[in-house]
Amino acid sequence: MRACTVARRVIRQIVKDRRTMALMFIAPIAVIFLLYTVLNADTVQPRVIAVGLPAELTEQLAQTSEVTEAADATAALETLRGRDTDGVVTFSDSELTLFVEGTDPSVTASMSRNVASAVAAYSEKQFAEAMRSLTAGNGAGAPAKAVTAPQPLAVTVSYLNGSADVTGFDLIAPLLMGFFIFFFVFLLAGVAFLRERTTGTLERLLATPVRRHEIVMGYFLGFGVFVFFQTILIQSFMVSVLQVPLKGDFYLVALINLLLAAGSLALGTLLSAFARNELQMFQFIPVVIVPQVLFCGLFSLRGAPRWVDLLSKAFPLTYAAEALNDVALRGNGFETVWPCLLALFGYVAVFLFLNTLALKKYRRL
Amino acid sequence: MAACDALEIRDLQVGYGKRIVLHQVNVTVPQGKIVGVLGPSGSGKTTLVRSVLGVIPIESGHISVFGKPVPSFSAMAEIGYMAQSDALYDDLTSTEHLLFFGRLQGLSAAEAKARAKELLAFVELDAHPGQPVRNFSGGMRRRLSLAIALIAHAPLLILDEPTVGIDPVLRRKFWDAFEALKTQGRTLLTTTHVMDEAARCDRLLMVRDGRIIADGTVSEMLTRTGADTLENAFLHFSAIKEKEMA
Repeated sequence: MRACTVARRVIRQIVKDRRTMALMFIAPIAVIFLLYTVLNADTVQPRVIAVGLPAELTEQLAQTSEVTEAADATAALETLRGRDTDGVVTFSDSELTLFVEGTDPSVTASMSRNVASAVAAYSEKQFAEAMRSLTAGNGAGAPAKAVTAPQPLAVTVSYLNGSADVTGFDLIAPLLMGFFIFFFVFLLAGVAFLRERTTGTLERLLATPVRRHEIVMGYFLGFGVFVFFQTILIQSFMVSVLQVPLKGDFYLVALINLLLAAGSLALGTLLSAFARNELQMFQFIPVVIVPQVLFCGLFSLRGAPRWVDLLSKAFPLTYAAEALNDVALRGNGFETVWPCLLALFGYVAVFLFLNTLALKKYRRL
Repeated sequence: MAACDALEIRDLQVGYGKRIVLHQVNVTVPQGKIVGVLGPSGSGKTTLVRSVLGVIPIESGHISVFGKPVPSFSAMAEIGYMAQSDALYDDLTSTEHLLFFGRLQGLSAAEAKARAKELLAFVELDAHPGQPVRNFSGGMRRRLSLAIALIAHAPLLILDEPTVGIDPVLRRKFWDAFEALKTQGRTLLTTTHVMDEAARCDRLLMVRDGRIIADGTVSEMLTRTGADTLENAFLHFSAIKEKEMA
C-alpha cells in the first residue's frame, strides 16, 4: 500500500530529525511541568497590616492572613504602595476599610475574601454575645433592659491603583501588549534572517568587505523601522480603541515596548542561526516564548519554588512586564522603572553582540 | 618586479566535521587568465571557492589574493563573486540589487548608479529595470548574478558554475563576456563540470574527491594523456590518482 510507503518515509525522516523528536516528546512535558509548577504553587497567605482593629477581628483575620498590627495608617499605606504588603485594613467609627494595591487581581480577590470572612465571623460572634447578654439581662424577675443589636460592619474596598470597575482584561492588558509585541517581532525577524541564510544571500553578503557587526546592525535598524511602527500601532490600538486604562505616560510605555521589541528582534535573528528552516524557527516557540509567558507575571509566582523565581529573572519579558505594570497600572514614572529599562537595554546589547559572534560560524573575520 | 599571482593557495585542507573535503590543495592563478576548476559534483569545487572567499573555516593552509591574506577585508575587496545558487532577493529589482552590492563593495551612490546602468546593458537586463527578481526567468537571474559579481570592477572574479541551468545561446554569450573581461585584464576562476566549457579556459584544474588530480592547459592535458577529449583526459587522470591512492 502506498500510504504505508509514505508513512514509513515520514517516520524515518522524523526519527532522524532529533530536534523535532525532542519537540514532540520533551517540550510538551517541560511546558506542562512549568505550567503545573506555576499554577500549583503553594497557597501563600496574603500579608495584611491591621490599623486600629478590634482584637477579636484581628484574631479572625489572622486565621487566613499574615497580620501585622500598626498604629499609623499613613505609614501602612506607604508600605502597601511599595508592595511590601498585600493590604491594609483600618477600623474607625464602626467602618472597616480594606486598602489594596489593585494591580494583581488574585491578591485583591484573596484579600477581599479573607476580610469578608473575618468580618462575618466577627459579626456573628458579636451578635451571639449580644443575644447572650439579652437573654441574661431578661432573666426571670429581672427588670427589662434595653439591648442594642450590633450593627453589621460595612466593608469598603479602596484601591491604590485601579478600581472595582477595572476588568480582568484591563489588568493583564499591559502584559498582553508586551507579549504580542515580543512574539510577533521574534518570529518575523527570525524567519526573515533565516531566509537570508537559506537562500545564500548571507554568504554573498559575507563575500563582500562588509563587517559582521554591520550586517547585524543593518538588519536591526532596517527591521527596527517596522518594529517601531508595529509597536506604536499595537499600543495605540489597545489604548485608544480598546480603552485599556493607561495611568502613566504613553511615551514611557512606548519606550518599554520598543526596548522589548528591540530585544525580541535581536533574539529572533540570533536564534535563527540555530535553525535550518522555518519549521525549526517555529519550534523555538515552546522553548523560548512559552516559559517567558508563564513566568512574566501573568501568574503569581509568590508561592512558586525559588528556582522558578530565579528563572523568571533571566527573561526579558519579566522586566518588560514589571515596567509596563508599573507605568500603565500604577502610574509610576521613569524613576521607578529605570532598572527594568536598563535590563532590557542590556538584553538588546547582549543579543546583538551574540548575533555578531554567531556570524563567525560563516566567516571568521 | 614580477606581478604577484591573482590567487595563491598553499596546502589547503578543509573538512566538514570528520570528513576531509579538500586535501592539501596547492594552486596558483596568474593574473589575466581564465582558470577553470573542472570536476564532478561533490568533488570539492564549491568548497574551494568558499575557502577563497573566506566564508568557511579552513583546517590548515594559506590563501592569498593579490598577495593579501584570506580572510581579510582587503582581499575581499579584490573579489567579485557569482554564487552557484542565484542568491538574490526576490522582492528587489535588478537595479536595486546592483546598487545594494555596489554600495557594500565601497562604491559611492553615484558610482553604483552609473555602474548599475552600464552592467544592466552589458547583461541585457536594461529592459527590465523595475521588475522584481521574482518574475525573472532562470537565465535572467544568472545574468543579474553575473552583473553583481562585476559591480565593483574587482580584478579577480570567482564564478561558481556560472552557466548551470542556462540555454546554449546564453552560455555562449557568457563565455564571450568572460573573454572580454580577460581582455580587460581581469582574472577569472570558474568552476564547471561541463567539458566543452572547460576547453575555453586558459588553464584547467581537474578536481576529484577533494584533490587536484591535474593542472595545466587543455592542450597539455590532452598531450600528456593522449586522450582525444577532456572527458577522457579526466578519466585518465582519475585512474592514475586511484592507483596512487590504492
